[in-house]
Amino acid sequence: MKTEASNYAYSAPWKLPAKDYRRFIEDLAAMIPDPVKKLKFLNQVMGSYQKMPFYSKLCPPVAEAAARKIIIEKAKQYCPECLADNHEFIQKYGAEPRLSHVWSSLRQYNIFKSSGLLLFIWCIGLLVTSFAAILHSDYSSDMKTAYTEKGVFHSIIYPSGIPQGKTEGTGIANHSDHQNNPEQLHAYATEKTPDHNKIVTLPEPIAGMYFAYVHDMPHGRYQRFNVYSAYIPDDGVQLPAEFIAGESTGNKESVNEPATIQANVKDKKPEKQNNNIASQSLPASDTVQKKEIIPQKHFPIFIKNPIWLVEKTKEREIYSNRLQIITTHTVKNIPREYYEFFRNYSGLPMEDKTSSQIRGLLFHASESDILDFKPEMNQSIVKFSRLLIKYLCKKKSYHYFIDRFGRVYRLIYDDQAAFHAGNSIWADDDLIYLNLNHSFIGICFEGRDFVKTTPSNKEKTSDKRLPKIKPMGNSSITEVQLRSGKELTDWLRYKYRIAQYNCAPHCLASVNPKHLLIGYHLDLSRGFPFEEFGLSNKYKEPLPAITEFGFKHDNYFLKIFNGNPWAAVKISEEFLQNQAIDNNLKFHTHRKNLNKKFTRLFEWKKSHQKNKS
Amino acid sequence: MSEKTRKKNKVKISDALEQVVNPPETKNSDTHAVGVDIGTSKIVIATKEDGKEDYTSQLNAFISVDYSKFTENILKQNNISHHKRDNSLLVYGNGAAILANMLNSETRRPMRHGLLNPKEPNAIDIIKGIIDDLVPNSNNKGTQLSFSIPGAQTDNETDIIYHEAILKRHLDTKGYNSAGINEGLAVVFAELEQENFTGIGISAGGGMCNVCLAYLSVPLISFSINKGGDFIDEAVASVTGEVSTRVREIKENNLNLLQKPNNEIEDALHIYYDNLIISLVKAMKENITGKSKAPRVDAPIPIVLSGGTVKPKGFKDRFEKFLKEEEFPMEISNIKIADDPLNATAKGALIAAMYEN
Ligand SMILES: Nc1ncnc2c1ncn2[C@@H]1O[C@H](COP(=O)(O)OP(=O)(O)OP(=O)(O)O)[C@@H](O)[C@H]1O
Ligand SMILES: [Mg+2]
Repeated sequence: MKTEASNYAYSAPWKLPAKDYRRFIEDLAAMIPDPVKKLKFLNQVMGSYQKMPFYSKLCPPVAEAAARKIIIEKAKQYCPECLADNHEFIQKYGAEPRLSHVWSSLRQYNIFKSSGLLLFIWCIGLLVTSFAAILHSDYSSDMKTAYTEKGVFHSIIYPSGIPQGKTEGTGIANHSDHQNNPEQLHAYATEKTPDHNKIVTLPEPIAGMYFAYVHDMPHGRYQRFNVYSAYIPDDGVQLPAEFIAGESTGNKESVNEPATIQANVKDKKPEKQNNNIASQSLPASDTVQKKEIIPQKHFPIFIKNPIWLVEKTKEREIYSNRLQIITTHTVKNIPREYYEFFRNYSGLPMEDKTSSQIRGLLFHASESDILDFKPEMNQSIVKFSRLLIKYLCKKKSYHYFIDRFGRVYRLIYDDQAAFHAGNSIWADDDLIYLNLNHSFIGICFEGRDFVKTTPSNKEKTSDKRLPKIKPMGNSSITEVQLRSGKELTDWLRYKYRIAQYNCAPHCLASVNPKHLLIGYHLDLSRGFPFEEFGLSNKYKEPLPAITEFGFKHDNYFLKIFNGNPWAAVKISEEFLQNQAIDNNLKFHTHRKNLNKKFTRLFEWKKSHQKNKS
Repeated sequence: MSEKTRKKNKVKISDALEQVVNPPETKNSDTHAVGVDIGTSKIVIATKEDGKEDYTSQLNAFISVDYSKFTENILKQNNISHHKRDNSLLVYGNGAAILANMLNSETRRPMRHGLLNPKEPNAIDIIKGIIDDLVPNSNNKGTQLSFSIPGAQTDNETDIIYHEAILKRHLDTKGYNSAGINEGLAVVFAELEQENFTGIGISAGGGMCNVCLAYLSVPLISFSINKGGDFIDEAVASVTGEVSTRVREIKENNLNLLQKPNNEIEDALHIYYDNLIISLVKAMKENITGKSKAPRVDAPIPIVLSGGTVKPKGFKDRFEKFLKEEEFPMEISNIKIADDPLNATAKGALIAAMYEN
C-alpha cells in the first residue's frame, strides 16, 4: 500500500496546524495501536498540511477546514475502528468549522485591510465548497464514544476505610494497625479510659498497644514524647507482626529465635533482608503465628511506568497519574548540597565534592492542631491548613504538604533543601545520610497522632517524667491524604528514580546525635500504610542508625512502645550481634566502634557544615 | 616451504577470504524492511521476524597489519573479516578489536563524527565490507531499507549529502530501496510511539550526539554536536597518559557518574562527561531558541536518551541537572533512557523502513 511517500525527509520549515487541529490529530493518533500505521497517519496528515495551497495563508479557516477533512480521511484509512467508535469524539472537536471561528480568524488575519472585499468573497466561496465536501462525510449518529481519559488511577483500598474515631479526650489506642485491623481500631477509638497515665487493661477482644504520654521540651514543631503504658496482648487477637516480633512484656515470652534470625541477617544489607525476618521471627509464638505469617510482598525498587507532566498552569501542575500539585505557595530555600558518606568506605568525604542528588522520601505528620473532619468544621479546617502552610513556608519545613482534603502543595522547590530532618540517619547500598534535609524530599501530611494532656497531681509527684501527651485514638490522616500521598510518592520516585528502600517515615530516621539514641521524633510511628504505597514495611526492617552506628534507645522510648518497639529495633540489634561475631568482637566493643565512627563523621560534618549540612 | 605448498596455501586463503568477505546469504528473502544504524563506532542492523525485532552488530572499525601468511591463517581460523590490500591485511568489524587487543595496538575508524572519514583512504571499502557482512543481499526487489544519517552541523551539510549518497548507492546495489533517516528522528520513532512521536530524541554515540525535536512525527529541529564517546576516550587518554582503549574499557565497565571517582581516570571521565553533557544541553538550547520560529508545542514534551554514551549510571541525572541549570526553554514532561540504548537508532530506522513498505 504505497500511497504516498514519507514526509520525514521533508526539509523545509514545517508549518504546524492551529492548536485545535493539533489536538484533533493527537487524539486520533493516540487511538491507533500500530506504531507503523500511526506513523503513516501522522506523517501524511502533517505532510498534506505542508502542501496546502497558497490561499491557506490568506484564509486559514478555509485551509483548516480542508485539513480536517484530510485528517479524517487518513484516520479512516489507517484506523477505521478508531473513527467508527468515535462519532462523539469528532463532534467534540467539531468536524465542521464554525462560523464564529471563521469570523474571528478573518479579523485576526486582517483580511479586510489587506485584500479587500473581493478576496473575502472568494474565501467565502471556498468555504462553501469545503463545507459541502465536509458535509458529505457521513458518520452515523448512534455510535458511542470510546474516548477516555488517558490517566489511570489506582486507588488505595482500605477494608473499611480509616476510621475517624471520636478522638478528643477519649481514645487511648494508637492507629498503628489500621491497615491490618480496622475493626479493632474502631473499638479502641471509642473506648474511654479515665486515666491515661495508668496501665490500662481492657476486656477482650480489644488488645493492642495502650499509651500514655508525657511530652517535655517542645522542640520546634515536634515534641518529645515520653511514654509509659501497658501492652495487653490478648491471646487469639491478631496483632501486627511488628509487635509480635518485638520483645513483649508481661506474660508474653520473647518470641524470637535468635538462630533463625542469624541465618537471615548475616552478610546481607539491611534494606534487603527484612522480609524474611519479620515472618521468620514469628513461629515461636504459637498463639498468633498462624494469622500473622504473611511474608512481605516483593516491592520493585524503582517505578518503571512513566508518570509525566500533563498540564502546567500558573497555579498547578497536573500529572498523568492524577496527581495535582498546587504551586502557588512555593518559596525558595538554599540549594541542595550535601557531602556523600560512602557506606563501604571508612574515609571522610572529599571537601570539594558535594552532591545535590535527591535520594529518598521522608514522610512526616505535622502534629499540628486537628479539627474534627466533618462538614460543619469545613471553614475552620481550611483556615487551619492555610495558617499552617504559611507557617511551614516561613520555616521552610517541608518540600510538600498534603492538607486534610488531600490537596498537595509544593512548599519548597525540589532542587532545594527543606529543614525537615536535620538530625536523622538513613542509609542505602551506596551512601549513609547524616542529615536528610539536603538529600531527601520531605512530605508532610497534615495530621497528628498525639494530644496534650495534663497529668494529675498525684502522678506528678510519683514520676517526674510523666507523659504530657496522649494518643488521639487514631491517626487523623484522612484517606484522601494517603491517596494523594501515594500519587506524589509515585511521581517523585519515578522522576528522581528513588529506590523503595529510601522511602520511610520520619520516626525511623530521626535520632538524637548527642546521646546516640534513635526515635527522637516519632511522627508516623505507627500504621504507615507502606504496602499501599508500594513500599516494604520499614517498621520491620533494620534501622540504619543502629546497624551503621550502633545507636541505642532509652527507657523512655521503650515505655512509649511499652517495651515493644518496632520489630526493626530488634532486627537491627540482631544484625549488630552478628556483625560482632563476624568480626570477632565483643558486642559491646563493636557497638562502641560504630559509635566512634558516627562521632567522627558527625564531627567532621559539623565542622564542614555551613550550608552543606 | 616449497613453491608448491605456498601455492596451495594461497588458493586456500583466497577461498577463505571469499567466504568471509562475502558471507553466504541467509534469511534474506522474507525480510520486507530493514533498519540500519551506521554509527561511528558500530553498525547495527535491525530486522523483524515473526513480530520480533532482531539486532546484529559489527564494530565499525578496522586495523591494518602487515601481510603474512601466519596472520592470515589466524584470521581465517577465527573467521575474522578482512581484506587484503597490497602488502597489508585490513581486518574489520568485531574482529578488529580482538586483533588490536592481541597486538596491543589501536583500531582505526572508517568514520569520524558520524560521517565517512575523509582522512582514511580505505574508509569506503571498509564500510562496504562491514555492511556486506551484516546486510544480506535482497532477493525481493524493492525491499525497504532505512539507514541512519547524522544531523547537520553548521559546516557539514555538503558532507552529509556525500555520505548519504555513497551509502545509498551501495545499499541499492544490494537490491534494496534505501533511504536515509536522521538519527535523532529514528530515536523518536523507536522510543516515543506512546507520545505520538512527539518529543526530543537524543542519540549520544561514539562520534557525536544527535538531537531531533519532533512533533507528531515531523522533525522540527535536528542537529548534532561533534562530541561523543570517542571524544571522552581521547580527552581522558590525553590527560592521564593511558591508552584510549583502556579508558574506554573502564568507561564501559564500571563508570558511575553519581559516585565519587576512585582514581584519576574516573575523575577525568567525570569531568569530560560533564563537559559533553553541558555542550549538548547548550547546543539544544541554542538550536531551539535560535530558530526564529520556535515551535509552538503546547504541552510539555518528553526527552529520550539513547546511544552507548548514555549508559553509565547517573547520565540521566547529570543531564537533568544541567538541563535545569541551563534553563531550557521548553517545558519537559519526562526524561528517560531508551529501553535498549545501543539499538534504539536501528529500531527507529526499521520502523521508518516499515513505513515505506
Ligand atoms: N556501557 C557503556 N558505558 C559507557 N559508554 C559506553 C557503553 N557502551 C558503549 N559505550 C560508548 O558508546 C559509544 C558507542 O555508542 P553507539 O554505538 O551508540 O555509537 P554509534 O552509533 O556507533 O556512534 P554515532 O551515533 O556517534 O555515530 C562508544 O563511545 C562507546 O565507548
Ligand atoms: Mg549512533
